[in-house]
Amino acid sequence: MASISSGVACSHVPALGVASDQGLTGDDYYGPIFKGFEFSREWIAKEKPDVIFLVYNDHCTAFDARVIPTFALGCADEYQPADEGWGPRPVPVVKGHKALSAHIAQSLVLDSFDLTIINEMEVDHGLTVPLTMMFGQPDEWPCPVVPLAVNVVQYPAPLGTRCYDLGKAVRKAIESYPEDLKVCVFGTGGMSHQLQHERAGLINAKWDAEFMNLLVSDPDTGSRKEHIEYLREAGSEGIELVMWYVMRGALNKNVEEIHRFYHVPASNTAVGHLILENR
Amino acid sequence: LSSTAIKQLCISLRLQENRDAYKADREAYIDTFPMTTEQRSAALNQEWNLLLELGGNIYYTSKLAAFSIEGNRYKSEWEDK
Repeated sequence: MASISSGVACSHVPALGVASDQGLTGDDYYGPIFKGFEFSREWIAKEKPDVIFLVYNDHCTAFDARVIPTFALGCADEYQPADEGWGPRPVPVVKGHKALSAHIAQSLVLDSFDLTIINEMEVDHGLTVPLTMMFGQPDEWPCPVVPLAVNVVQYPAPLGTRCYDLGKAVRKAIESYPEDLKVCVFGTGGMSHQLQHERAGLINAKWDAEFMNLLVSDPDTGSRKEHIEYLREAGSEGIELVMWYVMRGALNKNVEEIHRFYHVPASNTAVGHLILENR
Repeated sequence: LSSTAIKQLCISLRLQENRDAYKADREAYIDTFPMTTEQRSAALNQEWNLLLELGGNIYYTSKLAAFSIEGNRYKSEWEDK
């Protein structure tokens, strides 16, 4: 049977994709950030997941204002890196796992999570930057990816509690898949950042640290944070952090924090990163 | 107030053929989106904060901004506040 062994939380700052694509990962500005992921690249090379279940948000790329699914599960054979306005990122095509996607879709819908099924979709930096941070620049991504897109761009975004419960349902779905597969779950986005209007540039390192502590040790409490707290304390784009709770819900109640990295600034965002193993 | 047209104008520039059309005739391209007079003017004059107030969002307006050749990116909109 398939099983979930670990979880990764990781920001998706677009500038980190640009830094990787343009060979700037060793410079004074980006160097310390990529150094914070050196441990992670070694860890995942040993962890060797068969599949990554990647919770991310699309930035009006596959889903613009015409269609805004709250939860959308990718069920395709592959996902091409999208042109986000300045040409697609020069990264490998993201291979999917259609059979596992179909199984998860069925399991989630019959478990009362009525998500949207996407059979054709391009993926933006929200999905490819976390892959870059964890794997560097391989010719091919080392394993297939099952993407779950969460709407955190246009209110109403889903609640933290709903994301956490969805994670638990994702776990049930994966653990009922008959093939032996080791699955790593990624929760991406965040941490505190506000990209627009009068509070642009907001960072809240103290709140980010507490968010990570609660996520690891007391997710039942942490998942109940309200939207207004994310907005006030983590800025208008901090709401992305609800996606970390899908990842957390898919893991055991007890996890071991293998790695934590936090860095400010990356463009105008606080980069946060965790590796959690089931215990 | 409908914000969809303003968002769709911005996001349409994600695609090369639309970027080309926009560059060729900015005003004509903007007029293919059914915006209010105020939205149209904000888009044409690249009033970034007003665009947000009229229904834009940074993930949309950043596509329009990528083609902005006017303005000073080192000047803060808030420095006179």
